Amino acid sequence: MGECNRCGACKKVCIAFKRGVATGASVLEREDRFTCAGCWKCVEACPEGVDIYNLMMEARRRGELPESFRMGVKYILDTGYAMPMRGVNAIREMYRLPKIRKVKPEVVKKLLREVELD
Amino acid sequence: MERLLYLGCMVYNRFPDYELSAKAVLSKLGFKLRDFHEFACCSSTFIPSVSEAWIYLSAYNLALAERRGLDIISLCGTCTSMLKRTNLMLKDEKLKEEVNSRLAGVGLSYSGKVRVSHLLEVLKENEDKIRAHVAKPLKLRVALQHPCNVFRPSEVARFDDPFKPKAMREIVALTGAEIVDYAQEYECCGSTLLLTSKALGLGAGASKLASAREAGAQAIVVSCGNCAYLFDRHQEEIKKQEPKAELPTLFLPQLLGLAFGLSKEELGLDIRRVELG
Repeated sequence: MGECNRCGACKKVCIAFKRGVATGASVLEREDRFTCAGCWKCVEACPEGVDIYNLMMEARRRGELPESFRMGVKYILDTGYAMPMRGVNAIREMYRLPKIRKVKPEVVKKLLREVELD
Repeated sequence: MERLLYLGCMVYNRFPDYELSAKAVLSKLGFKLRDFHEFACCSSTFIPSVSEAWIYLSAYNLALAERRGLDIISLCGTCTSMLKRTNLMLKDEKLKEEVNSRLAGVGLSYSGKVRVSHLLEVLKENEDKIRAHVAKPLKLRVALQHPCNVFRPSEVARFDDPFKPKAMREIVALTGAEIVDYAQEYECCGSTLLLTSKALGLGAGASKLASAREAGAQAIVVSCGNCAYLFDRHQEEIKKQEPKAELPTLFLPQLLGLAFGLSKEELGLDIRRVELG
């Protein structure tokens, strides 16, 4: 894995930067690491092969979590899905789709046992 | 030709018409699709943002598929990428051991054998069959939204060109529909930006759709639930911001299904109605 030489190639292809999100010399120097479209053009554009995906995720883990991400994490921890699924089988019926058995919440708890929201 | 269809949260919860049309088209092409009971979220962008443990949840899905002895067809970009990333990371034997000790707690194990392919990859591998099934060539001008995570990061995706993917163009061309070139064709839709800034997400969507409509498109064709979430579910808000951005959203298998001569009911278009101007 390479190291960032701050050439700015990642910025040039970043949709968040193009739409005005403040970015330092590289997307990794951005203060707000959550306002990211997750398109990963930055990874492709980097001439040094910097592991931007993992560095970005590590940086997120050190910072404060925005409310929308907190909700996403909470839904997954509680139900196994990133959004509320309460009405899903009624909608499936309307579309003539068979019911699907959901993951058991205790399975998710075992798999993600160290993940906590403070 | 037997496969498990991995829906992901977005399709499961919001776009049953994508599932329905994918099933209809793939079964025409000879696939036997099995419902993926007890599947969970791929971990998405959420769990990796808080913990390295995301891989356990993603690997759980692969282990379920392996237990059934079936490869996976996925419908969205991020799910595809997370499941493929997990497969790639599990080439590391030490990590695989660690993941398996966690999976053992829920009665599963994973050896790494499940192949994950996005719908586009499957369609690309079946071009000849698609050609043979086109019964009603379409008279329609469409713009394409290429799903980012099906192509990037290329180290994970290993499919098509990461910046200028061709697969979707080649598949849509088989339907007879005219593909318009538009300035922002290879730009990300920006849907995920909605998570932290609604204005940024809507702005990205408005700018893309306006660019596509200006080029003469009558619909935007997508093959990811997240893109549809922005373009379709936020269409009213986008239109308020930019009236020139009014454009209906069609899922790729709906477009193919129309060319195959399938009914609106078979493609879910009787419920999520799409008016093609």
